[in-house]
Amino acid sequence: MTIQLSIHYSFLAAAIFYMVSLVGAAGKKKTWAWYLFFAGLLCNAISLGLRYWITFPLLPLYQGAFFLPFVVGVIGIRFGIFHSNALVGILPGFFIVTVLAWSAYLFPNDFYLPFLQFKTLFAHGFFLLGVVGKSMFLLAGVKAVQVLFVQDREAGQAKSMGQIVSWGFVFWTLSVFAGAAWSWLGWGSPVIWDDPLMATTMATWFVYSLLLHLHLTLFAGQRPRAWCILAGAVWVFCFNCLTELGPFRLPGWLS
Amino acid sequence: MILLQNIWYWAGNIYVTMAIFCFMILDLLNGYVMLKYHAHLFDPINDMGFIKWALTFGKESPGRTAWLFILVVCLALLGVNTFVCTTDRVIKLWQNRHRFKRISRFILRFGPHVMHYSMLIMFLGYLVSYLFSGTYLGKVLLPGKTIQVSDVWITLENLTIDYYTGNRLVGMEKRAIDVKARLYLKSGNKLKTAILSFNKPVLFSGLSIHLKNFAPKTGSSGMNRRKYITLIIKQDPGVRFYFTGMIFFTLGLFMYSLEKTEEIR
Repeated sequence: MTIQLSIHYSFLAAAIFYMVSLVGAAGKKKTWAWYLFFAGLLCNAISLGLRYWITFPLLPLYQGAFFLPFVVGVIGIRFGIFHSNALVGILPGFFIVTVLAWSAYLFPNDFYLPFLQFKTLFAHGFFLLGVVGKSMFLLAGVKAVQVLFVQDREAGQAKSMGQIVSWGFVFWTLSVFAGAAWSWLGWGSPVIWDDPLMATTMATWFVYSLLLHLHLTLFAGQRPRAWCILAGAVWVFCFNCLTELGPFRLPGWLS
Repeated sequence: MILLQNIWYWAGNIYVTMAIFCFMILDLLNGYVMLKYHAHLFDPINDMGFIKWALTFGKESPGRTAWLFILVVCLALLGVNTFVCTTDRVIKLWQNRHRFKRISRFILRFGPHVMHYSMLIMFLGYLVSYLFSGTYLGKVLLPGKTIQVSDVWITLENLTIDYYTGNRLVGMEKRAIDVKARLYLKSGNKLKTAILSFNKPVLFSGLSIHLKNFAPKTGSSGMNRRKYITLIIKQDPGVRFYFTGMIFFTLGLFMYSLEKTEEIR
């Protein structure tokens, strides 16, 4: 089996494990859901490791969508996204990881040969810090759902929601700075004006700058903030996740 | 005096900040659509600088480029708003310094303000960059040949291209994996020999020289193809401002994170 097929099938296995774990969680089989979810993370990690193996020290171009479900899953565990007594509290976490994995699988971007300009730590920093930042914004949205809709609100949910947003902002900002430094080193300008993703990246930075200033306004309450953070996560999904996907492609084994 | 106080109050008002943010977000959304479908209109900014671009491309297609002018105005307004708001808060923080039991706690409180002032330094960098930077285009160098840019003479002494011989990197077989160009630079009495590579620009006499392209890209045998490199040469006095801003912004971010972590403890 070639390495590309290993990458493909390990990611497919991850997507299937994630989906079955979602079904398990919905069916209140929490222990099984957990085992399957960890199996999904393991397969996803193998797929990502191999992706990096065939490109490093260059950057795996347009591969961010495959990294996202793994990073969301791992950081989600760290921030207790999957811990809730209520079904409505536990499902969004499994749901978002499953949606991200299947959207990456069914809407892959084109494969391009990497440019030699990608051979710098700043390019990897821009890419990886961006994935972490994006994951944290999505996770903050999941936390917001828990704050808004779980009746027996667990203590500290709202506080950790704010923490996730703050850390997401830190990673997003560092990613933007790494991108600017890379852009200057490679092309002599910190902004490349022909890339539409530059506009959505900046817009997302302003969205979260706005959210971080909410505590100074009348929208400082827990519920208004949670609604705004949920809206922010929807924004990130629409303008930073969907824009990185390619057209729908029927997998080879189905056609 | 009251009028001035009122202007100062409104200039630093948080709801004005919110309004500017919302307007910029919508404007950037419009910018995304314009960049996606009319990228050719914006690409020349990198080469021409903002002012020349505004007088040519910007003026020719106002419907498609207006978002960028609006963005510049919004950034200027945000700059004023940030300066007033932050200055107000820094003054208050200084006046209340005796309330802090620990000096470290007091210093960490400056984190958000360091970020805000750093943002202003970055804005200044972009302004200087777009007003005063110059780009020298289409500079092709062959081994042993010399070109002149401004008062700098650039000679390509030697070009070394390494081709990938392994099989781990997919699609890279026999393709260039590393390029090193040895340049000899001269400006008046100043002399320098430096190695230019991708992401490793050469700085000399106010210029930054970046490797844009090269040939031959593949190492397959056949015709004895000619070696050359193309350069991007920039004279950008704004660059030191925005990188200084970025470094201080990062420092402010870590001060802020540290303060929040201490709060949780």
